[in-house]
Amino acid sequence: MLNMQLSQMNNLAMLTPPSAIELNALIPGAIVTLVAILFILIDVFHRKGTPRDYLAYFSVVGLGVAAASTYFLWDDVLARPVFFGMLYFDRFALFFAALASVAGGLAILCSPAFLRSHRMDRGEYYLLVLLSVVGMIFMVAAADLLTLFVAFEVMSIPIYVLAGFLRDDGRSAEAAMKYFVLGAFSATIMLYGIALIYGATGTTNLEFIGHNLAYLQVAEGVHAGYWMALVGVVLILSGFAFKIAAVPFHIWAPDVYTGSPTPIVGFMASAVKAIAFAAMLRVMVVAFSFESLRGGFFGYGWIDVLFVLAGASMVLGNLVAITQNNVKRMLAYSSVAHAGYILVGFVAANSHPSFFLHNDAILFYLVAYTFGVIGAFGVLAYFGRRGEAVETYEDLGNLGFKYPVMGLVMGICMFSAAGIPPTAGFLAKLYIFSSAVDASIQTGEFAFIGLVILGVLTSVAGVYYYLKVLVYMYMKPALREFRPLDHIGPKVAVVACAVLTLYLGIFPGRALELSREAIVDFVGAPAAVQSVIDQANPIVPDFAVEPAVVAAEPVL
Amino acid sequence: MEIADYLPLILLSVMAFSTVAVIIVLATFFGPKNPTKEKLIPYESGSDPVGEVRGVRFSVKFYMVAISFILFDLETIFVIPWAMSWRQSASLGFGFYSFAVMAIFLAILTIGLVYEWSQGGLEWD
Amino acid sequence: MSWEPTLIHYLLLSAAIFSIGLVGVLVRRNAIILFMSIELMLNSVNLTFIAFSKYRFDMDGHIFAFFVMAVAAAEAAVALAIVLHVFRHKRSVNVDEAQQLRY
Repeated sequence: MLNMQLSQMNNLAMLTPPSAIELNALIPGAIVTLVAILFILIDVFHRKGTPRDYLAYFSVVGLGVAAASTYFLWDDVLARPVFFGMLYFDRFALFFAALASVAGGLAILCSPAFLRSHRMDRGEYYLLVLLSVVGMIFMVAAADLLTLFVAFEVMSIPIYVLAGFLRDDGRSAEAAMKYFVLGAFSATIMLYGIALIYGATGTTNLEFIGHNLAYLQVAEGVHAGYWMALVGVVLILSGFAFKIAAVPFHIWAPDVYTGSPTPIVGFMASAVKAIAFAAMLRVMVVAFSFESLRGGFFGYGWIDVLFVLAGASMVLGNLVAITQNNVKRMLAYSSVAHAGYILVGFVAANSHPSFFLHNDAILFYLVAYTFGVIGAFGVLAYFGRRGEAVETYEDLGNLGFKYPVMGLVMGICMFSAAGIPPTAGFLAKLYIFSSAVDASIQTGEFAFIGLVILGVLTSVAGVYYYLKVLVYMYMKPALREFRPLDHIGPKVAVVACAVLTLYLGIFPGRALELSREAIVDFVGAPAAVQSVIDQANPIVPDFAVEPAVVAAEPVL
Repeated sequence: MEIADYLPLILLSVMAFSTVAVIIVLATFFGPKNPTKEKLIPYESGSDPVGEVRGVRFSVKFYMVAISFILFDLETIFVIPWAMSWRQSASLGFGFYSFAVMAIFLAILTIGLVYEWSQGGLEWD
Repeated sequence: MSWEPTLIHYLLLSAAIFSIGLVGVLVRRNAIILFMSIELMLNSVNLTFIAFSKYRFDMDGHIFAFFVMAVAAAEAAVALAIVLHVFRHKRSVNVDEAQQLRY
């Protein structure tokens, strides 16, 4: 906090090095960056014509080290922004850094044989995944809209390339083009929102935006700067809604998921969505927590916008998924539906500062969802040999008995996605919905209960198409022969996903604890939220947050 | 802002226009003239100035060069502000730190260049 | 003769350019022109940043504009590669002809 104010008042602070303890904040990101740089240097000396599996394993090990580093850094977090108010170094950021690294590692494990069968065994693939993970790690740690935007693009641009990675496949090219045009478009719209926020508040730092917005409102009631900020919030929100594929912004998802390389779709559907949610939580809570922007409930703030998006995503995602015949397309619409479920938790937990701790349900849901989705797409990648990939339900016929491990994994992942015990997906949905019910009881707002009822009804509809996958895998005859990609990578990855999904479903304790710790150690929250956090976390460390000073900025 | 503030700009424009005019006039009167058909067509960097624009195909090689140029050219927008503020940083006693930060940035760019080179991105043929 | 452009004029100009880009993305069908429109939008945002930055005597907007330029270059590189990729398969850069993924 002190450094941040210094940098605001005196730009000379920027010219001085950050203190040594702050450098810890860079460790997970720096590990992945170093792995990427080493990767380039190794790839330069790669002998042509030999398989690149060792490069994939090298990246996985690197990502594993990055994930492990978050474990060792867990107790070294700082309760203030570091790097002159550019990054946060808290457990919330570390939690998602670990999640992004693990998701990237699992996606890479699914890839080598898939790429070889598509005659695209190129080193760039793994490199791009690594760089995307770097962007993700910094995006959740961003304490400034500048870092947020740059990390957002570092995360997105490699994914655009990866979507079009299969050079011989016209559909991959088309997916990349659609994803890029819509992605760059939404990023630009978000950027315009950032510019308006900067204009209204005179800063890009999230905490100062929060302070200055309050000042804007208090100073002169409704005035131009306030409306500018309001438009800015909506535009920023639409950028996030695109990345999480919530309903009006979901058009790209089915096409892109169908055309892109299958292992990458798992990564896209899980990690990108989780990170976008985390960053959205950070930005909305830290910068736009101000009462009139938040909108209370049906006060037309961003909570109400997200409320509508949540309902629309659940209904449309589930209903359209039922009509799909292509499995990847069905999973795309189901990921839209999952975005809706997570938004229910998001709306409930952020509708009032006192519910902030309910956000741990979102964190748990994102973890459960990540493993389920990567597992499902890993199985599809396993049967994804070029020219004979599993596409429709009919293609799945009898695969469950022929390849028992894959059938079992797919079964667990589908159960988890449908929310059937004893999988992680069930508990995750339970926590999300119970947090919404809790919020409803405490505020007396019936709207949350309505959303929960909608969620339960639509997830019952979801059971139909998830179980349809299993029906085809176990009860329908095989239409054609498949030669699966017999490679150790995807097997290890999908089994790991299935085991984790089951483990989280049966013994959720440790994961819930971690989510709780991550949400309790959320730095930068405004005073109302901070007091809620402090109540849950009575042991105040000696480097606790100093009282925030409202910067008396000149307003428009 | 008064109009007098624009005086340097006006002077510059007048000088630029008059210089060009003088050169053209002088060249028209004193320059040797030996017109041929090739010399009389408009100058289009060697390509045929008449014809369908859409039909002209450019080699993909141009694309590679252009993209490499854009990507590596943009490092200047980070290097020049850094260079402008380095003196201040050095006066505070953190010159080496400031230098090291930029060195890391340039090292990463250089690795990118090495990679592009090794992948054949700089080969014309 | 003492008129000079103020903040609102820059904002109006950048909003106009942004809208031109926005309409371009929504109306045009040539992929290259779509990317050009997106670049136009990015540059209009830069103009907004610089105008606010100048208005507030604050350097943050300038710095942001630099980063936007860098990001725009990276996007342009990827965009052209993707267009080439699509062109190689479809012999066309018209986004309406990209319909393989719709069924």
